[in-house]
Amino acid sequence: MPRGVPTPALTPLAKQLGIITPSGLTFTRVHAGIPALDPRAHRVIVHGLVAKPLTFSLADLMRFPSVERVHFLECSGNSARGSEVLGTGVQFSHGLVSCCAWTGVPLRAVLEEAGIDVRAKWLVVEGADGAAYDRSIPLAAIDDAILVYGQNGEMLRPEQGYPVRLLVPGFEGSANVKWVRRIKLTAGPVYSREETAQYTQPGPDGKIRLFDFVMEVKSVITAPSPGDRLRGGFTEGRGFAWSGRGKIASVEVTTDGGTSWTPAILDPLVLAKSFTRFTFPLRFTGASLAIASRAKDETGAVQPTLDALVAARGATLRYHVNAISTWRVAADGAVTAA
Amino acid sequence: MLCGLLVACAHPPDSSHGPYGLGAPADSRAVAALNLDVAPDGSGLPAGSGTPKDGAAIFAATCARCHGEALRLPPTRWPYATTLFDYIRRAMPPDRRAPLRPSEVYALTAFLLFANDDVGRDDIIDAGTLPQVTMPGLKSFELKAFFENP
Repeated sequence: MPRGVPTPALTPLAKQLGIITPSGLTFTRVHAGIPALDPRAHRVIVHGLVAKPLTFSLADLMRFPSVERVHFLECSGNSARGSEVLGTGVQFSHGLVSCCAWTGVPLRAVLEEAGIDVRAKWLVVEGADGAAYDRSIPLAAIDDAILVYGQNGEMLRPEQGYPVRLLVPGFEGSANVKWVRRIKLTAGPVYSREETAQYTQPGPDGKIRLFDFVMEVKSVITAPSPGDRLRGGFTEGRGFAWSGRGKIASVEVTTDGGTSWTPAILDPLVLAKSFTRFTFPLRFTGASLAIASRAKDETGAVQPTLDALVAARGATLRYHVNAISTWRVAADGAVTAA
Repeated sequence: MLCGLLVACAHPPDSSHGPYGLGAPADSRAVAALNLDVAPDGSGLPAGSGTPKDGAAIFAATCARCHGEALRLPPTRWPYATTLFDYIRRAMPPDRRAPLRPSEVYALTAFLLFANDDVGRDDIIDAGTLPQVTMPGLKSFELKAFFENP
């Protein structure tokens, strides 16, 4: 990590009681500082393969028909292999994910204002941070994308991209460019440093996978979780599940390390590409346990074991890790990562 | 229907402007000042040129204080040489106390390519030659969009 760049701020997920992550607890990862942008002077330029290049102020963007949507946002490095050295607990193993209510204007409406040329197939979205961070996004993937100016009922916070950021629901966090200042419609991707030298990894054949955007189905038990100590008798197991491909269909839990699985209870608020909260009853008798959750999304995709994921995606797998996490409960009630 | 009528009434028809009439025409100079993208085919590259020798001196004066004596690129991770130019110009040096001129960016790009055995010591790197540099990393990449095929 370059000198002067703060380490990521991780969401304290084990302390989060509902599906919404408070704005101040949303994980933060930046590449070249947090710019201080004047909301009156800031502009978003839309150009490239458009009928008429346009520039929008924040006030202009806030005049468009608006939407509010609840979506998770997950860094591709969340639960990265090797991250266990960072610290103990769900905040360190899973804290590079948050779920918020985002308010903004559908991206397509802004692009259509400038007139999308039929040759346009990608957009290059650039931020106003110190490195003019930019990523190529396929135009075919923006149906639910939002240019966001609000988070959890308030304006975006500076570290989250104030005054305006991109949100492509389900895409890896780094594709959701913050402090957006320019959107260029193009025929192909630009192959920026952040989508070639960074945010790529080899697949099982050794070839490096480009534009590996979608965060796949995943879940984690937040209570009990590493660092806790269970007392005897009843306790409620709790956790969150999410998928970048749509809604959560079901979550199963095990207390015997995966020999037997039973359905967890899903809270009724099941939204696409959002946290879904699940619970399950747990009785601790002093016998050791190995507890884990396994989510399935509406496409039928099931959260894999780490062994299965490595077999499918290669021994060098580090990012996009959505594997099942198992917590051990010892006879004295102490909870640790398996 | 009513909504559409209201929009139509509020804003006179403009065939090249969208339904809401929001935003302002972008000034071409403002666009050009921000339009830093360099694509693998070389589009976006400015006038200017540089050699590895020129770049070595600039690297020592401007880059070495963070990067050390030389910078080895992960050989498999840079499929296109144009990306080097693009990134150096948009991001370096971080403090911007002395912004790099295009020929300095070409020279630094040439120096890094030479340090990684991708160009010769006396090669002149410019808008014509840079897109012609074949990077060893290109064959490491699978040029397939995984958002379509997980």
